Amino acid sequence: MTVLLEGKGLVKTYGDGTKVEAVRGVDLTLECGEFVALMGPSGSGKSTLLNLLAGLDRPTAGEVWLDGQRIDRMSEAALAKIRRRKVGVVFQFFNLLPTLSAAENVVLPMLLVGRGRGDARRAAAALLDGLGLAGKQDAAPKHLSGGQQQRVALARALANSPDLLVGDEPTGNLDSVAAKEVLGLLRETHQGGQTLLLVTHDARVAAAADRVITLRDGRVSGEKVLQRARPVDFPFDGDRWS
Amino acid sequence: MKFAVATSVGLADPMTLIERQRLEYLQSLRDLDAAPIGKGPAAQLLVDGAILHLKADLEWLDLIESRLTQWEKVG
Repeated sequence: MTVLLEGKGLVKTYGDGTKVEAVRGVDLTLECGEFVALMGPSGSGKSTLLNLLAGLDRPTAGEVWLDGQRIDRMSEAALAKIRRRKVGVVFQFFNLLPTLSAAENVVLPMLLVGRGRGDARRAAAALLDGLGLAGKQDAAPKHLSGGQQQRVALARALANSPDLLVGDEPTGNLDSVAAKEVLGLLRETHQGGQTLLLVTHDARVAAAADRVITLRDGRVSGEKVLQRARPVDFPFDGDRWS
Repeated sequence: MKFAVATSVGLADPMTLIERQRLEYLQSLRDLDAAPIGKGPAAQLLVDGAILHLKADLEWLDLIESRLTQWEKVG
């Protein structure tokens, strides 16, 4: 397998006077096509670590390598360029631009990498269609449900076919039905070969991952490669009850 | 129970035990999430019930972890 993302000895410290060490020496490697979930209690450093690995924040010490390039020492302009093309991000609170329609929110990142407007519109329509939002393209985010807004956010994150899709609690602000739908879509993108790194409190999201890494006090406290789902023994023949 | 015995006689670090148990529960959740739903409504209810039990167990582990952390801070 090819390594897509690597964090080496990552440290992140905040504050000048009383220093807070959010991440205290984390090594993490993600292979192409892998789905990794980061779990841990509040304040364990998981969101900070995700931001460092996605190039949204810079480490105090350590290195971040994405697709063979060291990104933590890049200029802001170079890093922004890499992020636009190689990293898609989904947030807990969707972060859609409220004055743009669903389709325009998805078109925007495509225009930023130089795609033509017509081409971008067609690609955005196809993406939204694939995520079950065919009739909602012209709707403003405020007229969409939470689950629909997160699906638009997912379409936006996938707009430039990123090598890496990261999410910070992508189901954290959704009811259980919408959370299940979004998880189903994340699973589908993963089955299509998408590399995924998600911070989550949601056990069902974590259970869908190939590998779960737990953090505590800014350090990795546990790691497990989940096996393919094993058959569940039913205590009786369920068909007789249908 | 295993947790109480193992930690009280100093056999294992409680946080390590919690971590291992959590990851085991996640594997079980994965198994249940993939269980075939064509087994009829009763089987589906059993699967849903087992999933809810596992989620409760996971929340309980979170609670134990946070209480232990509090007690460690208090000394």
